[in-house]
Amino acid sequence: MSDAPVIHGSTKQQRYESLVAALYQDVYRYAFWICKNQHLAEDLVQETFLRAWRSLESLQNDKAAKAWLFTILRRENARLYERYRPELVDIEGQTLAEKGEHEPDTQMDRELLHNAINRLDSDYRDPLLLQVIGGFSGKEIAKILDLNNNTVMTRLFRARSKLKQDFGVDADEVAE
Amino acid sequence: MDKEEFQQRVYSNPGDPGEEVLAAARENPDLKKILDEAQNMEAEMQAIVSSVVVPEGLHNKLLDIAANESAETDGEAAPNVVALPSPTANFFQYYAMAACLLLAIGVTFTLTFDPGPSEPELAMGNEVIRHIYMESSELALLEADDRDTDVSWQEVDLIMSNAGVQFASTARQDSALFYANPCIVIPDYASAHLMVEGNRGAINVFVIQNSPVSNEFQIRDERFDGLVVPMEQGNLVLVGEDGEDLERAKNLFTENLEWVI
Repeated sequence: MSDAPVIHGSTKQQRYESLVAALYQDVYRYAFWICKNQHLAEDLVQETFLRAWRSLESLQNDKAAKAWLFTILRRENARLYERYRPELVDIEGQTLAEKGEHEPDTQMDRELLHNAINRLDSDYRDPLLLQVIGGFSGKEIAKILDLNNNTVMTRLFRARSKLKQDFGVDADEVAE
Repeated sequence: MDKEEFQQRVYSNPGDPGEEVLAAARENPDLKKILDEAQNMEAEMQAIVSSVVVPEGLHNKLLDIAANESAETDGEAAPNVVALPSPTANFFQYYAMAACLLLAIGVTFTLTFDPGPSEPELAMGNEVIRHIYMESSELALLEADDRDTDVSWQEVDLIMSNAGVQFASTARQDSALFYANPCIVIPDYASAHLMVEGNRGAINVFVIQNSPVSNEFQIRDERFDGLVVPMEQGNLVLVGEDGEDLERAKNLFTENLEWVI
């Protein structure tokens, strides 16, 4: 992940606005993938940024803003939805843009991969999404998920192996 | 580096596998194939996650959070002019202040400590939405442009009375009610399914004769927005298309329904 700070400005308002501008899209995309519902994801992002605003002074290292926000989001998701999650219809693929702009084969492959990601056990999907959406390093993911670095790297390896398998090309097959 | 280790390192981070991995791939076509495959899949994954559409207006809503919070904080910081008690203030003045303080704490706690709907209450909300999807004839009616608004009030009265309610005759004209059907949303509990015109299409109104929920709460899925409103002897559930203003319908029914069990 880039080490460039995303927060600029001297006032709390300016710092918050730069934080929103730089990160709200990634935060929403991550929220969407863990909620699988656009309304819940939107609520979750708003709740996350509300918490962020209220405790912006506690963010000591501006370079860690993204990991900080993702951590808040995961906690809010657990607090708000994991306990009493309504049984919502999974809107798999329905809010993905540019659906009709690809060749049919590409579109089909993407849908297969998309479904394969959704089918992953959360132990594997969580670190994978943090790496792909958040661009976090193994150490950062370990901190967010409260795991050790080796466990994270193993889970990332297994997640991609599983995807490769589900996606139709076995990793071992490729190597041989 | 053997194949197993190579694969492990590539699959752990295909975007940045490290110089050692890249060097091994340059020397061995089989390893290069693994790397290429993994990086292609990574590019596909990036494309998939990036294609999630971020809702329009979300950016502004997030900026509004700061504005609203600042306004609230400013309000709190406004100087309160409080008359200091005179040196001769008696015991009862202090007693009254303490009582007020306790009352304020109690009210604040009540207002802020909202545990939200319980799991069974949420399940009931979900069941209502599921019922709408399940009843294909009602769903078709919901989507029809040419709804027959000629509803028989005699029949509506019967359906409502079976659900334990009576609708005030004075409000019939304004109700825009065009559908009524007895239905079983929750087994063993009598209920009525009505439809009235809303701003974004039909609003489904369910009167269910079951235990009232503890507090009013919202329900929704990717298509519908709804409200579960506790009433005297049961619940009123209103479900409209996403973004529907349900307040008018809520007021219409809460003010004009009478329980006649």
